[in-house]
Amino acid sequence: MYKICKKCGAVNKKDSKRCYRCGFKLDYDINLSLSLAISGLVFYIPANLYPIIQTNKFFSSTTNTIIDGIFLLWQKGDYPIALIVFFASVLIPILKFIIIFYLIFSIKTKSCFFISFKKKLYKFIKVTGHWSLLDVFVVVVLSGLIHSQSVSIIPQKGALFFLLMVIFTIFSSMTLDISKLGEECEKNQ
Amino acid sequence: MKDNIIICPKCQNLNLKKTLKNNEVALCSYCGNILYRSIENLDKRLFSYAFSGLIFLIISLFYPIISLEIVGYYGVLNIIDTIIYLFKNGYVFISLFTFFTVVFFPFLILINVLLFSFTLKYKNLAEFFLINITILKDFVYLDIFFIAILVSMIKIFDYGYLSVNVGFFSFIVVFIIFFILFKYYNISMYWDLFENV
Repeated sequence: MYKICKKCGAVNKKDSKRCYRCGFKLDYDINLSLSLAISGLVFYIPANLYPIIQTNKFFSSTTNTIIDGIFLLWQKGDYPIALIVFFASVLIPILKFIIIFYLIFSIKTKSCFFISFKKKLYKFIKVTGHWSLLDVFVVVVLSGLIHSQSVSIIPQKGALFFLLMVIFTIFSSMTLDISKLGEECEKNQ
Repeated sequence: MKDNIIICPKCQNLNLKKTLKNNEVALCSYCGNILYRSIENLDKRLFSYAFSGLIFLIISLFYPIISLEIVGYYGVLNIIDTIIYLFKNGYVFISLFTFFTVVFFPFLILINVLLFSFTLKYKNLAEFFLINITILKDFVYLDIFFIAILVSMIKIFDYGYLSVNVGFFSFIVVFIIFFILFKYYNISMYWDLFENV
């Protein structure tokens, strides 16, 4: 049996610890992935509770959480942008957590069901996972563009927690060894 | 070590690797998915893309990307200034993250592609640059930053007069170059090029 290196795409023997071509680690501990996912989940809660952005206009100041921002865009009539932000900042992180925990659970319980479907789920989180950074970068762009004494936009605690959450989930999916899925089923066959 | 076998990323079928002529494409024997392709003068192409990418990256970093005019206030978005502003105002982690993923890693990766294509004959050196490219490619988020600029533009469109500047167009070119370097030509092609020299 063979294992593909996630970094360079080389085909290695299943029992190889490192890729013969690029030298990267092929075998990660599933508990590392689990702990990173849990860390991400811990940061997900304050990321949604704390405001991510503060808008100062002359003598008034308002703060917005991620959900507030989406509602404001929707009320303004920017439906496509509201949907993009909703997908990138709300739906994808939730889906990502569900999929990561489901895959870790499947590997730990040596489940033999829906292997190809689970591999597709893994590809989905690999492709879409980092798009959650969109909201953080929007805050960065807005604060860089508007920062005068009378009008300014500044990041808040929520942006930092959200960024940490995305970083932890990216590392969690990177260290998730998907080749372990269905390993026992192959042996039994 | 199985350097003559390739796994189809779509159907996981094992295929034997064959040497292709220029501009030929290898398809999976089971599902017909494109496995790899042979591109004429890939090293020269990489060099020219990386070189132009570097020039346009420098322009997009130091020149204004967009500017906003609200009655009495004129704001300009410049990536380097934004990072410095965030850092000085105590948003150290966010500014460092933006610096590394939007400025430093893209710059470093283009330098490495340039040097890789240049030192291809010297195996050890080329391998060092190629490993750097392999590590860094997963930590470049230029595409998301570009979409974030577009989303921000739409968000503030109603508040004042918005205009795009030279940095914006350079950023589009950098975005396209990164797409060609890492999506159209994937990292396996770089390794094949390195192994076949």
